[in-house]
Amino acid sequence: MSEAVINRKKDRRKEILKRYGLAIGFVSPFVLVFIIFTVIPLIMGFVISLCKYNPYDLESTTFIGFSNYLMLFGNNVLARTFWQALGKTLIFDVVAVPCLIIIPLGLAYLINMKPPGYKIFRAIIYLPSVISITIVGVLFGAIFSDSELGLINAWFSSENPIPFLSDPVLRWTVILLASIWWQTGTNFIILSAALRNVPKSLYEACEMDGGSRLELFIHVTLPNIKGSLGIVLFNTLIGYLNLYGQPTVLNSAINRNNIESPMMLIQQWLNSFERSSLTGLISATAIFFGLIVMLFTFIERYLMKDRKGGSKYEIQYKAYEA
Amino acid sequence: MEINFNEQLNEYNEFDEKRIKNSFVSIQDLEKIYPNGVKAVYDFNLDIKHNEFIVIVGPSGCGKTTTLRMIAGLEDISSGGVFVDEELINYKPSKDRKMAMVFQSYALYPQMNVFDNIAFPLKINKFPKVKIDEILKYNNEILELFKNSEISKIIQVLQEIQNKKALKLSQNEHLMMRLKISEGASNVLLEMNIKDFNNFNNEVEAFKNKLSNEILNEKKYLENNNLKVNEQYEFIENGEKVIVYDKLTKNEIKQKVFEAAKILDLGPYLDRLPKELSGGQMQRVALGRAIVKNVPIFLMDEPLSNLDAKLRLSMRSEIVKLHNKIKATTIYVTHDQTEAMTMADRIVVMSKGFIQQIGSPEEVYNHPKNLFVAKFIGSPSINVIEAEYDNGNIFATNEINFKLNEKFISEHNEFYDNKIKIFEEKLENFNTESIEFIRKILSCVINETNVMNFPTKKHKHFKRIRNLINRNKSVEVGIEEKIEANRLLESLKDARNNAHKVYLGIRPENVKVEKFNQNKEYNNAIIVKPTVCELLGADYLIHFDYEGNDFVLKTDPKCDIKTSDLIVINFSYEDMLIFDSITGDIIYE
Amino acid sequence: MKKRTILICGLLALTLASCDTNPYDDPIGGGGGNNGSITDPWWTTEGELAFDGDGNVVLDEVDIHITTVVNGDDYAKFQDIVSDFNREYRGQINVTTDTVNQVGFEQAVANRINQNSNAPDLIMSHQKGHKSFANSKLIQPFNEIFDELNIDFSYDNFASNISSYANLDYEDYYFDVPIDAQSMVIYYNKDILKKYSEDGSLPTNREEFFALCREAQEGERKTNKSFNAVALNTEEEFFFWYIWGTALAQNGATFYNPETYKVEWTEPNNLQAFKNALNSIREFFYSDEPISIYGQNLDSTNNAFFNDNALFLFSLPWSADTIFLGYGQNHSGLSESQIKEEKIGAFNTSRMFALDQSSPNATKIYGDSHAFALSKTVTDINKKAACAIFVNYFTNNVDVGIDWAEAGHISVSNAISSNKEYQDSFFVDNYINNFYPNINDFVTAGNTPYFDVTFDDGVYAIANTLLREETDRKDASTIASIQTDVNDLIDML
Repeated sequence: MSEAVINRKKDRRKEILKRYGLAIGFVSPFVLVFIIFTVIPLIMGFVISLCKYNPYDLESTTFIGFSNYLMLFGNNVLARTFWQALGKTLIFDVVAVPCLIIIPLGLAYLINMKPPGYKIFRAIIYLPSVISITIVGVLFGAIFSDSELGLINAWFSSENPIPFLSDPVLRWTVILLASIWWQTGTNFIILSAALRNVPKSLYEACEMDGGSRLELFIHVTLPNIKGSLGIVLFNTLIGYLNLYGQPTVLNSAINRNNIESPMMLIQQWLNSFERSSLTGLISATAIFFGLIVMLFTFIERYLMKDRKGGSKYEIQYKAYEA
Repeated sequence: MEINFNEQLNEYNEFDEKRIKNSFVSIQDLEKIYPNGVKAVYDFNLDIKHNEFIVIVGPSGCGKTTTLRMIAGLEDISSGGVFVDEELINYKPSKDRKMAMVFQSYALYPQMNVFDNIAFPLKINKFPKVKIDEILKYNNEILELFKNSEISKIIQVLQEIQNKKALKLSQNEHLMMRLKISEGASNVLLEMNIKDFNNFNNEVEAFKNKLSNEILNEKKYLENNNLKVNEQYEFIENGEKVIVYDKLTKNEIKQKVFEAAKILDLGPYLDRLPKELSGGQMQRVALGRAIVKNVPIFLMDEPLSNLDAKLRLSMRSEIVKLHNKIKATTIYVTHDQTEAMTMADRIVVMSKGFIQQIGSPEEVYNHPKNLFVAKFIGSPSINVIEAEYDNGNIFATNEINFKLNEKFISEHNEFYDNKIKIFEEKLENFNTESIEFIRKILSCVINETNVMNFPTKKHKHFKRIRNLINRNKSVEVGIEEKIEANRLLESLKDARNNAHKVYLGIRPENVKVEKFNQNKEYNNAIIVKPTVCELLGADYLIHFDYEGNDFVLKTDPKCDIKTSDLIVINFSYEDMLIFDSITGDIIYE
Repeated sequence: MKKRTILICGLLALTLASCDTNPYDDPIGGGGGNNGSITDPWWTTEGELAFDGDGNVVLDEVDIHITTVVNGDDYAKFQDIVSDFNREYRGQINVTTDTVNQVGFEQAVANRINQNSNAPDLIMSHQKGHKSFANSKLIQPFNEIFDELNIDFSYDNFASNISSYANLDYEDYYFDVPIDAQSMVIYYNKDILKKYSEDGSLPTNREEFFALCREAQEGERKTNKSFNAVALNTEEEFFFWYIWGTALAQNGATFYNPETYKVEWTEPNNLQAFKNALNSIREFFYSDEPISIYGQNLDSTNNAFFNDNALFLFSLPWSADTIFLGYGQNHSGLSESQIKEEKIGAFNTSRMFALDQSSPNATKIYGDSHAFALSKTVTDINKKAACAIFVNYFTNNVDVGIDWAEAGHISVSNAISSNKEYQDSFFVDNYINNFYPNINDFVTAGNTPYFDVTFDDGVYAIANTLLREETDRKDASTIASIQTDVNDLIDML
């Protein structure tokens, strides 16, 4: 290469560095961490999921293709446990996700009317979401504890303490309450901001057209916050398909080994020393589960997409004109 | 629950009944005070006749939008009354006021296409319909059809509708169009399930029999339940037609929307979403939404301000054409005086919450009541010169001075006498009315030192309580106004008798100009060099400086005056308007 | 287009490679280690030992680290014993310790050993988890080093039942050195007992036990409405590990097949044994006259006992001090020795759950046993020697035995347990001997490499689900379905 070409390359590099150097500098820590702790383990996990892999016996690693994934559809204990757990989680989600969207929406709507003291209410609503799940577990575990020393049971002090955390239905209700209390804040903030961005003149136009309060809500408020609703739904859906913290932490000691969500399955089996020879299988389960979550979110994104109008009215109008 | 507002009306003796009866929309003493004490609209009085196009015009913050919103029902009315068709509508919700509003931002529903946007008011409201007996009416209509039309045509149409997909319209619409029957009748006809077209006649007979049986049963039913219908099969009760409130059918809605779309030429856009439309198209959709409601009053809040200049021109004429076609009373708010001048039947000029003048464009332009109106209306705005009045002599500069004759002098004295009398009356009884009177005077004065910054009744909660406790301390509002009133009175008294300042106003087109010709003789003419020459195509504006003031004159572009030329200015004194410097009112012209 | 074809080809190749529908269909016995003999040792030894003139080994500042599973009060005791040892062997051996909770012990320590990061030299944990350690080649036997040091070691010197497992099924290999045994024990209120039993004597079998309890309840409830004869904590894992295990053992149930490691609970005799065990516990809570309440946790049961609201408290031997203290707090004015000697007594669970009292199984007590094991990461022979010396010290020194007994653990080493001084010490005499009447009747889980799967997800899960049912209606079906799951998983492993 001639001198001129080499110099030009150096100059170009310098130029790029100068222009983007600062940006690269700011972004690089995150990118580095992201690659090391997310991308590489993901790739490794995928590779492991294609093999029979035992971390305590690395020599026995064999490549078996998609057999691990096929195991999930067979009739074995893993498949049974997995699909059962998925079913339980989905049932919980069907109840929890709407609650976690409608309740923040309602609260945001009410707070937007700016009642006296609304700033205090706003803070109170948001505050629980800054604490971590373990603290939520300790709190709700103490309040809803099974024993007669639990806060609610002690208050009612009856002969038979109510088994909040052992009885399956009650337990999921407690988990639902804890989830709502804990995570209403984040959704509330987003929806509150979205509500404020609805142009006021639209409300007035609808009022003049004859809309009642409910119609105002349906025709003006909801369509204009559609973007934010989509985001909120997206995040909540992913978060609650991956349900792990709440069932683990809000558990009575004896229910400790019950597996109620796919994430619990993956975590418990991965952390079990005796099941270490099944590491490949569990990786496959994890990746498969990730694909299921992706499927849900694709469906959600598709349903929330803006659609273009057709042309049916145009045609009818032409016929009318004729 | 129907509240008879007219009964309430009799309780409110403060309203002028004659005005209510003689106009379509009567706005009396309308005022708006905000909770923090700021008064936005003072004493708005206006009577509007049918089909009138009223434009409320004024600078930003003058209260015009607030007034419009009060009429529409989007703001609460603090005091006063609005009467539509002799009915007090202060307390009616917006949708019951028989008004439609077009917003500055169009306020189209972003998730609906144009068709749905226009159809929206029709879909969510119930409309009064005469209750008819459907069975009797439509069955009879079909029987008539079979009697009068050719069977072959009916067969052909029925065969056409068999192929649903090839139809452009729905089955109903197709039948309605081809056989010229009503929607209900076409529904009945669709009930006839033809299995075999070859056996058509028999099927028809069977069907006709079925319809006749239904008619007989229905008649029996009516008799048994003591219900009456007239010849058009409308229910009659106590001699009057029974009216029910019901939603419109899909076809009715479609008809109305298509009509509106035809008027506004929105046919090709019916499927588009608002974000796919241009500004002018969105404006037309907003207009369409208003038209389709079929109401007698249109309210428009600066609808053209978001459009570009050329579009504004074309939409202006569109709106006027629309007004002539639909014949609805229109109240139009704008800050653009050109729109006011070109579109209005009458103009209402507002400033700082007060009405400055109401009149036709010609009146407002040629006979402005005060300096503010004169300056606001007219583009380019009127030239104002300070001058000294001394007993009939008006002296502005060496070149601008003239003498008024006796008639004018006596008018001048009368004017000031009247003013002094009014002021003294107000000062004697200095109440809220007087305060507002002073504020109104000051609302149009040029002097910016008299900017309206009166302490308002900003009672914070504790202060209010404190005031309750110390009843001795009177409210501090009005002190400034009183001082001002006194000062004005003094100036007026002074002006009555002594030499005083006046303002001379002359419109740009009334300033005569010619090129400086060295050879000509000019007496007392102003000879200057223009500062800016603007060619507007049909007009030619020339700016020049004179005695520290900036003047504009409008002339024919054919005279080729350039900034390098010297020009001779001649003010024609007949066209001058003389304004009082103290109150701003016009003395005479 | 090109990218897509490559992707599709790749996927096809992968699917072709995956012809095996169940790659985990291994023969029974699972991965790792052959049973019986070791042909390919996974441990090494380096270095040489130095001996003095008398043939005793000389060590110079050897540091060894022990990771133990005991925590709480007994860990403090363990550390005391360790510092005594360090004092005695100053200059030669220095021992450091740390503790890992039993719930995640195997996973955590296995990781550390496998990656040789922060790996301990000696582990002291439940013997039930050591078989899987051996199968995963994480621990090494003591044979070589015992030979080098001329330590005369034999499993005959230990309690018979426990020591039968200590070689982890590798013949002639000394993998484990057993230390102690523990199970659930009973404390009782001597004053209340005297009221309802002649001379304060304890019941000798199940019927007497229930009769005594019911009588006591009837009597005490006249004045104390909240009296329950038995305070039994069902919220902690110990309930399932020890009470349920004991009930099963006493009714003659077999946990798993020692050759295939699979579970055979639905085999008719075994199923009946399970049902009997379940019903024997159910009678405590759900009979016409229940003597206890299901669902109480540690605090409520302890409080009941401290407030004289219970006659028998089922608890753990190492909680003795806590119980004495708690009782003292509610009965101020009593000295600690008064409480230990006059107010509270010790009792055991032998014969408590056997529905057939004549069976030889009726006296069995089921529990855990601690054992020492040597990590494979120890290669230096001096370190191995130090470990061996410590292990020997712990299992032969009588003082250690007494201290450890006061922490609630009965020694299974004959050298200690047959020593008169040990036998005469207060706590052993009054409590330990009453906790475990016959150490040879003590049974543990044995050597299954699938302990977690068989017990945690299997045996204990059965109790967890079925003990909430008041009748045995669902017993057979639940046991069958759990058995299928467990056997499936064992097949895969």
